[in-house]
Amino acid sequence: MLRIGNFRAVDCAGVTRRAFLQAGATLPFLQGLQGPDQARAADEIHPAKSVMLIWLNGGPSHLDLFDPKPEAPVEFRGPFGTIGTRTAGIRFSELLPQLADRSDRFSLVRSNINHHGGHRQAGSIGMCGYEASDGGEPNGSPQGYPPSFGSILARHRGDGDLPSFISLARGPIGDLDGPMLGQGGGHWGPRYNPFLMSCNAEGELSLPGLELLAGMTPRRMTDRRLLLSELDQLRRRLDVSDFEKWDTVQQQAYTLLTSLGKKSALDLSRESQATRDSYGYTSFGQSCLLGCRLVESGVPFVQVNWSQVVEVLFPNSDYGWDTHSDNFGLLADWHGPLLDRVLSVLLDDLEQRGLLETTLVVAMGEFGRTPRINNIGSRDHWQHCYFSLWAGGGVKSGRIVGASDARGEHPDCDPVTPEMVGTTMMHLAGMGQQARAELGVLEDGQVIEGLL
Amino acid sequence: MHHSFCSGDAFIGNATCSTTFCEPSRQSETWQVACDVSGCRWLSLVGVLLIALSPYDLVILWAGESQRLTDDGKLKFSPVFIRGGDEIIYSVHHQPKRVVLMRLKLSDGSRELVLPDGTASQFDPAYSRDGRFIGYARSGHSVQLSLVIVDTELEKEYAFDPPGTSRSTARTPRFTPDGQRVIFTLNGSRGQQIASVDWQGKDLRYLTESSDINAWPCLSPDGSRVVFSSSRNGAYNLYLMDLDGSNLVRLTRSSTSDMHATWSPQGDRIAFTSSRNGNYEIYVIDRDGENLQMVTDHPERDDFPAWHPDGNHLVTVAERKGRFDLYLIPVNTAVTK
Repeated sequence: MLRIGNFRAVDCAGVTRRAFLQAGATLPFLQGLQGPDQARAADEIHPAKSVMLIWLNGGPSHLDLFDPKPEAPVEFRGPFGTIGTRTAGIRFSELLPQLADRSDRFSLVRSNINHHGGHRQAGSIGMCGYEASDGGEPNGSPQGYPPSFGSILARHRGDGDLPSFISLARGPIGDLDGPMLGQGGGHWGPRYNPFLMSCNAEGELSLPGLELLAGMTPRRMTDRRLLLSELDQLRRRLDVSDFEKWDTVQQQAYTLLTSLGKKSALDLSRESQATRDSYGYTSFGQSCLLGCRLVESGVPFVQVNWSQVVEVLFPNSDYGWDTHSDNFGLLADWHGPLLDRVLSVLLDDLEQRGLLETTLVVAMGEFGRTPRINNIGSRDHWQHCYFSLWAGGGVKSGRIVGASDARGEHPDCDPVTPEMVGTTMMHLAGMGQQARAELGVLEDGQVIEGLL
Repeated sequence: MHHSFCSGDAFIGNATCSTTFCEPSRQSETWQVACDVSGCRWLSLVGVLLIALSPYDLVILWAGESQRLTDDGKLKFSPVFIRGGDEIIYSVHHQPKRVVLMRLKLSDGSRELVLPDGTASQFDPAYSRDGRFIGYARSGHSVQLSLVIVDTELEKEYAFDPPGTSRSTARTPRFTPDGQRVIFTLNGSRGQQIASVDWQGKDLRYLTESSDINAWPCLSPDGSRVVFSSSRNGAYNLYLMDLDGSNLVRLTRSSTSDMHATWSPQGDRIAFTSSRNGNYEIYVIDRDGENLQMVTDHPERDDFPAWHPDGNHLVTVAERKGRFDLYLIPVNTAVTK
């Protein structure tokens, strides 16, 4: 039986090994080559050639990072001090000294809201802007959701020889119970799902959807004969039921890998040692560097995920932001310093490459965490108020949009919905209201004017 | 004055770092700080007697070289010395989904998993003074982090599951000198407190009961005092208390966090991590709150100090060029005139 990466055993999302193969026939790999919107996209002028979504999976605490409340009562404020920034009157948590020193290069929304308090639902909503009255999971399947922001832009652009929507993770992101259903093509179908890649702490690449190519390296990807040989070997291992699907998968995988290989976008060893060092040797750090290279290679939408699952301390979690317990220890020891370093370096690097002006960077999670410290000295889910960081791609920098109340519980003004987040992304990427209406997405969405 | 760090495949145990591949690091530049670090002017040379003039004090220092002890660069936490300083146990992000306890033998640089079985993550190693008991925090499903105490003599394991919810955690254990009790950070039904249990994980007692956040306890060598971090006056600062929670004294005053405190073997000084200078650096302070010294100063992170039994060195987790490794740094004989 063919074993294809992490798609294989996830039943609760309705995504199985066979489903992947079925999806493979319509995978998004090369949709850009065939997309109907190809000609139109080429004629449009837009400030953001690419969008880079830094997805902080699990819900980072807004009070302990970008929206501290040092004057709040002890049961709210937490143990971290605050530091000044380059933005007058604005203070961050002490965990973010490097970002504080760069606050004039990005803007911050402090009044994000979501419509659900569960990870998978809120994550889906946060990535596609869906607003259901009940906030639940429509039909319990991806098809019940509208397409995600990445899928929308990928379809709209439809150009180039690279995947239009790449998500960097070890598999579909979600929690230990299953994936977030709204992270892909939604009712447009799996053809518009993101193409998954993952990058380990040393910058080594793997394709969760194609783990068949064991030992694959960027250098080997460029060796067509070797690649074909490996794909042929794989084909011989397929069972009969999978066989019919194989040709399409083979062709798509081959074209994808060789096209990317030619562009060398995946080979981080081509970067200078200093650049690689600066991002740090963590999966998140090297993934952000890879994301930068993908943007440089023309990928319209790159999503860099902090982790595949939201959980942080449960076995088999990969240390997401879901800090129901020991929030303050984890943020001090691990998450805070890592986020500060990598996001700062990413902004510097994009700027030095001349890409920041044309790349919209958005960093956020599915929600924040409870301003009131819970009964075990930590913070739980809080969808009523959280942050998002915006940089480049036409965003005015050094601004604070919206504000939370004195305890960080609710927006004092200018609540920003997930639909507004997506609408603003698309607007800055040159996809106006008419284009959105033609695709039937985000038609009534409002742009976050304070960022423009 | 930022020197480059050891490069190549250097392993340096207790031996002197080879100068062929290892340059002195800024960590070796120990100096005295009197209240205002930014106001200090200082000079340093490696391995020689130093004289530095500051606006505040004349400082005479003896500084040695820092030594890199690991070279894998993986994210590391919470090292502790065992076996008289011959070995170090630490937790390391070993696999994408697993943090484990690792043993480093300084004699030959070899590393091995301390508890190789299972899939759970292992954090915060601690050893009893006689080496009989190992304590650590283990991830699980019914409780996120249990306190596990392993009796290596009887080959038995005891687990303390913190009360509260399935999200409760027990972290950062430290044994009393007689090995009979363990103090630790408890995220349980009463918030985040310092607590203790006996070596079988029973007889829970709270050392703190406050509405703020308390963390990272460490016992003095004689077992009489506990240093820990608390946010009771704002950011995490260091406090001292008796083992029963009485005689609370505030040790540091900073608007940002002082964390990961650890007692010197002689019990006269305390090393800790602080972000008071805008970055995680290692500091040392006398147990009476006097004589604050900044031990490291590097744009990247220095964290998790642990005293070598000789009282003259610390092992730390230092981030250098994006990699996290253990470094042995000298801290002794700073004299303020």
